[in-house]
Amino acid sequence: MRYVARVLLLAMGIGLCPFALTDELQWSTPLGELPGENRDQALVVVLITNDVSTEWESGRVSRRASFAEKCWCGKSFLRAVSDVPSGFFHPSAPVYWQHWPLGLPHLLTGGEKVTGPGRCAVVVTDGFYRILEFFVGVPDRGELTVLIGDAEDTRRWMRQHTKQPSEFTKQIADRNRQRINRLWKLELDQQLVAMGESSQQKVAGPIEEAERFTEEAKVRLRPLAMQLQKVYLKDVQLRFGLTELSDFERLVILEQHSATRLAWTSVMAPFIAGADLRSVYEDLVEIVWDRKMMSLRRHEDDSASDDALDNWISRHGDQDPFAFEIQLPRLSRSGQRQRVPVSEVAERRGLGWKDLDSEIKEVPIRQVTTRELATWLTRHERRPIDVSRPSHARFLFFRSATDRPYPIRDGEPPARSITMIRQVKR
Amino acid sequence: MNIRYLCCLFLLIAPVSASAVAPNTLLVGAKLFEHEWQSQNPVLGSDGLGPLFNATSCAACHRQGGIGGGGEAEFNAKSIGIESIQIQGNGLTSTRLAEVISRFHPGFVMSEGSIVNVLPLVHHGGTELSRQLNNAMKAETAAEFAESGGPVDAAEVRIANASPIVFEQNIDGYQVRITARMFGRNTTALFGSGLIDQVPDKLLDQQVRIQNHHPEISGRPSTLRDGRYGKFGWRANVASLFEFTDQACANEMGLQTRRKRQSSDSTNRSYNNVAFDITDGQVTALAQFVAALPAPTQYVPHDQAVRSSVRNGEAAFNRVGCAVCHVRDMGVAKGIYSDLLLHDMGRESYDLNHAEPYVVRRKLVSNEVEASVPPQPIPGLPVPYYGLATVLPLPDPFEKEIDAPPGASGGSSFEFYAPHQPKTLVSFRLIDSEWKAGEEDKNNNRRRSPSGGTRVDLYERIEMETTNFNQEWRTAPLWGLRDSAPYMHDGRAETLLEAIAMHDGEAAGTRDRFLSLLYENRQDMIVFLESLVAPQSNGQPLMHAAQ
Repeated sequence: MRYVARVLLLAMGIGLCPFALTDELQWSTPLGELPGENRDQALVVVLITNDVSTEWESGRVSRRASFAEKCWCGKSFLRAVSDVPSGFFHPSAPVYWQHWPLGLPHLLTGGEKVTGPGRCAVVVTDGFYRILEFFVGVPDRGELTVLIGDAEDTRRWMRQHTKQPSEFTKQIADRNRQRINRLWKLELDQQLVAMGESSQQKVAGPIEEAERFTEEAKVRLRPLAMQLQKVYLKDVQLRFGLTELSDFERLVILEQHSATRLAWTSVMAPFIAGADLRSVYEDLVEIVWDRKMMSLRRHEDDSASDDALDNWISRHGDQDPFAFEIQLPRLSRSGQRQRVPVSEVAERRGLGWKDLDSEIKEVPIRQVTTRELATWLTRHERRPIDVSRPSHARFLFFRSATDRPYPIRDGEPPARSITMIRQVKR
Repeated sequence: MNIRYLCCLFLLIAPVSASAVAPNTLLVGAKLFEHEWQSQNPVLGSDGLGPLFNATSCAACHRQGGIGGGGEAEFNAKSIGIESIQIQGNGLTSTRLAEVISRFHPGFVMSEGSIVNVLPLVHHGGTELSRQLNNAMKAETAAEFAESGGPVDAAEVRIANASPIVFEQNIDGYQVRITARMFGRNTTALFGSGLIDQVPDKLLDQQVRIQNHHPEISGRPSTLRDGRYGKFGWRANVASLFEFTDQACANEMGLQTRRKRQSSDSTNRSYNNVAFDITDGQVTALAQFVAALPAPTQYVPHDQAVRSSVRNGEAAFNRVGCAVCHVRDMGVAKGIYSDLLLHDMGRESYDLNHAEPYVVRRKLVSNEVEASVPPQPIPGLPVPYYGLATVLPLPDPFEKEIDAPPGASGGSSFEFYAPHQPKTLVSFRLIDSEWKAGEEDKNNNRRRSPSGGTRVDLYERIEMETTNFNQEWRTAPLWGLRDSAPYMHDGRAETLLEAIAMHDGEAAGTRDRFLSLLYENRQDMIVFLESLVAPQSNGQPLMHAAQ
């Protein structure tokens, strides 16, 4: 089935010679509206990497850099594109290419430009950004072709079952089931059963109601990801001999190769197909990377949204203390799990994590996204801070608006921070 | 398949190894390789196939990329290895210990009474009870097994590996806890085996000397008890291709040879095969056929991009250090990509059929003792096929025959933990014995024996070095790699990426350097490795060409 689209194009006499337009590959604007005339037949191939958007780079040179220079896996991706048969690229069914660089800028990585191994995911959507296929890693020779073929199949099933989304979910699952081993098959079947038993699913809206459909997919995403994460970690432990926590970096590198997360994506894909990528990409990417990422600037973003943080600070008085809260990556948000343990003595003395949480909530506190924070730091020409290393900075505490932010990290005992907050409050 | 055509092709492709062999012998060998053995051999008056066997023919498992290739995970040979035994209760004797272990599986108790910690779990044959016991063991692992006997794929190999088998029972007042695990051995490709047979030991020594200067890698030869170096098998514990063939007949198909007894069924100890199942001539023909199998080749398509990837990949292969162990040429074995040495591959790669201990020194010593009767002939050393098992220490050697009730005598507990290294670093091997009748010694150098004579025993004093012998494996030859998945000794790695990532122990540094390569370079290296294919004819696997 996954080659149906290809076969149809062949039947149309378009041919299957390798795509030779790599050098001329036209990159469309991330999240941009697509031309209306062929939107129904269009596909969007979104390459998501942890490169830093040129938006955050200073100087002209970086803005002029070629795609292969701006994207850590650009050369390999272009090679994969060049292997896609030219028959896949027909004017009546155009393929749009987008590169979404979602890496944290140096402002949020302590001033460093390189923040670990390259990350890569590819999502194929229809012309309305509805997710058709999802892939983690750099596509190798032939893999991009399969991905696009699969996306065409998914779109066809989606169109056949617009009123019953669970039906196309099952069709995608049936196809993907052939590509995974027994344990993952079991997991996929369990998720399908769970989906069938879900009361939400019974009243699931048709695919045309994009917003409602996407919201439901978003609700499903995190618990599904948490469940799959357990299976995935066991899987990679056995497949790659990863046994220590310190092996995490090896796993990140291995995830550059598509086979590493193939089973995971095969199980996940049926449950996110049809959702609007623009609404779910932040959740999806944070789940896969388990790291904070930088969201894209949307067209509707304007200076008013950039002012929001300044306005909030002004409302609470520039000379008063306040704090920003930076949420953990989606999968890591399970209570105290990542916080360094505190001794019983410290707990008794009121220097535990609960004490910190209650102390900091007594000052004005606002959750900030990485985009808001980076924009604010840029605006006020603040020094870079590292929100992830040596451990996640859950809070940034400010004695006043003009003060340097004091990061309160999960990996450091909270006693010092509590003492400081108490002193400032006095 | 046209066997005659296949043989002619071998002669064309592998003139070096096959030149001294008559075409007719090759033809016989090829037929035997594919022969479906049956139980009962009326010609030889023996029991033929079995009673225990992993397959009915060589070709059933050796089939990837053509006859003689490797096998998928479903053909893996299996074993159960005991990691630990804890028995609480007084008065445990050797007899009782054997009874207790037999409740777990009688196959751990040898017919002469000794107890070993590894049991080959043969796929087919045996009594109904034997099959039930084996199925119970398989069920403990939660893995799925194919009809052919092994785990259905690499994923199931991993599940089997990761499933501890725990036996906990109170048996006649003894609280018993045994922990064990299933281990597997993937079918090795035989292409180019004739060339490996011709690699002289001095080339292995040369590699040892080279690696002595390496900060991470320290390969060592598999030193067999008879002084030779092993070159065949995952543990390199078999010295010659003939012996490897001989043992495969007995172990894999239950074909008893003149030198090697067939696998016996522990649930039917009285069974005795009265004759050989395969003649020496047949074993020789089989070995000569295997020796004549051509060596794998490198296949690089004309596509310039792929050619460039192969070139870059090979450079990266050398740069990160893979080539230190995966040595491209070993004498006549050109393109083998192995040093044929044993290397510590890390704790995740252990298997309780361990490698031969590393013998670093041998010295002859003699000992003269009084003796009443002439010495018996010294039996030939058994050559272990999958590797050595550990013989359990007996709880009380002086009470071997005493069947005392619990609490009567003996120790209060028994514990055994499978060793990771040799327990003793010096051993003696009797290699000759001379008996002299008790006559007056003119030189007065020999004691007169009141019982009639003296015996002069000649021993070999063997000094060993400590190594992690459970996790030492022969560097897998990479020739024919593309056509031999799954990878690693037990076929746990489905892809080359998984196989590389699983390298640990001595290879950890090399693995990390591979992972720190740019993505494109890593991919190029995989493309290079995939260019190493089974013997080809016009770009197709040999078997297809012969059809």
